[in-house]
Amino acid sequence: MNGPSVVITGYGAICGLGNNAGQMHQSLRQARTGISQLELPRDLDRLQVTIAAQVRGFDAASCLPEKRLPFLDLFAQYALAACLEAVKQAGLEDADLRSHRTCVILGTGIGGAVTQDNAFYAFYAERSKRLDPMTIPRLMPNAAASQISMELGATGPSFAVCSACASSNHAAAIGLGMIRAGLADRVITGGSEACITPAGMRSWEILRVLSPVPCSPFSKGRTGMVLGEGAGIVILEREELAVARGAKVYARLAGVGMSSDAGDLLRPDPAGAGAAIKAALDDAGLPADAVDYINAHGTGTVTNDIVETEAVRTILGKRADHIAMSSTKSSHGHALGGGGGLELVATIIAMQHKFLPPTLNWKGEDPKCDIDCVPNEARDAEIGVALSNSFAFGGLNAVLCLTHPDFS
Amino acid sequence: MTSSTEKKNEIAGKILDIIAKEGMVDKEKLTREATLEDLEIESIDMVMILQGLEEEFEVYVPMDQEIMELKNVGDVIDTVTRLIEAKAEGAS
Repeated sequence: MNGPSVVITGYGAICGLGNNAGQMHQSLRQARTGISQLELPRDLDRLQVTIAAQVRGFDAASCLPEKRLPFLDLFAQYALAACLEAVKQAGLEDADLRSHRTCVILGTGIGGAVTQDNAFYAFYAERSKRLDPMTIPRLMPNAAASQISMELGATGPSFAVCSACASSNHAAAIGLGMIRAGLADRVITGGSEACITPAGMRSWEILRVLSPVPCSPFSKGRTGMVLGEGAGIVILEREELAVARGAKVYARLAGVGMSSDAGDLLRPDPAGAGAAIKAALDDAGLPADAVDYINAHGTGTVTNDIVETEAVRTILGKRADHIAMSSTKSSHGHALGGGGGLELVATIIAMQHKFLPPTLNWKGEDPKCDIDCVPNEARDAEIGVALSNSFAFGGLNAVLCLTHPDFS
Repeated sequence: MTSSTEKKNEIAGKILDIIAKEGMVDKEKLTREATLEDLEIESIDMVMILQGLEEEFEVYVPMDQEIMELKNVGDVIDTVTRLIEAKAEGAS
């Protein structure tokens, strides 16, 4: 580890498990699913897969500033809602936020997918030339980061990180690096995604990675992943400043590890995933034996779960027999570029409230995924050190290492 | 019985056509024993084949464990035929 220690002083979330982090906590603890029948504005009857983990009952007008709404695609609404929750929890004052030392660095795999889908549908299918003039400002992948910086008055660097399903973890890694390097005091990071559109669903179907039934990561007989959506946002702060202002610390972001497979576009490589896990532990200055819990990438595809298990077993060795590695995607779905943000929040919740979130829909052991995935029910446990894995198409791997505030 | 066998043969014939076209394989090489590896059918070719099967038979086949473990052309025919028949039974 280099540079000052960085802590997490606030977090917020919105996803199929609930519209704030408190609801997400209860859903994870009680092993509730966020997966339900797909709802779409059109063309639902042309899809083969008709389930997803969609956000329900979210009323943007009631929780977001009215003046911002015309500029917000759904992915930016989710990001702003989760951000405001995180800022409130962190107890940050306007003076802290309205500073060039406060940055917004958010991951998204796609950006304003709903806005783009609506514009394309209007132009191509309905032959309309009257598109929403806010189409471009809403769909740009940096829209969420920009809108948050404007809402908070944060004048430090604000930008989006785009690396498919690793986007959020890459964003958090850059945030950590900026604080360590002395380029920022606090970074609002994590990510968001709202990609469940008719053509988007069909595009995933065509890749054959979508499961027609609720996903069952690490289980025998698993049939693929289920799309999700939402945002998970955290406040990273230089520890010295957080302590000085008396902030409650929920976790320490102790290390990050990143790697690229430089191989197959779609098929993950255990060597690349393992390299990122090893790099995260090295960066945190921790041995493999310190790890208690891993929030897995755990998509539920046959290949991912085998490769991830192999990578973890290779790097952790015998320790892999004594840790838990669950996939919360089994409950909140795969939120692509926002997935890492949601899983970061899930990991902090697990650490703070002393339990292991479950892997739902587990039906029996796949011998190639021989690891304790906390099947079907949450369990009480104290977590001192946790990893959160994200692996992406393009062969991109990004792993975060968190430690409990009392861990030393 | 005969008509059931004829139906199975007809389905098998269509499946072979789709493997040949979408997997870009010479149809003469498509014996039941021919392995996907020998035919150089890779995962992206399987995605194309499964899309062709969906268009022909309206059946969604995810890349599940069974599909990932298919070894030869006979396995593909048997598995896909079973899925098509299951769908037909579900619909009736």
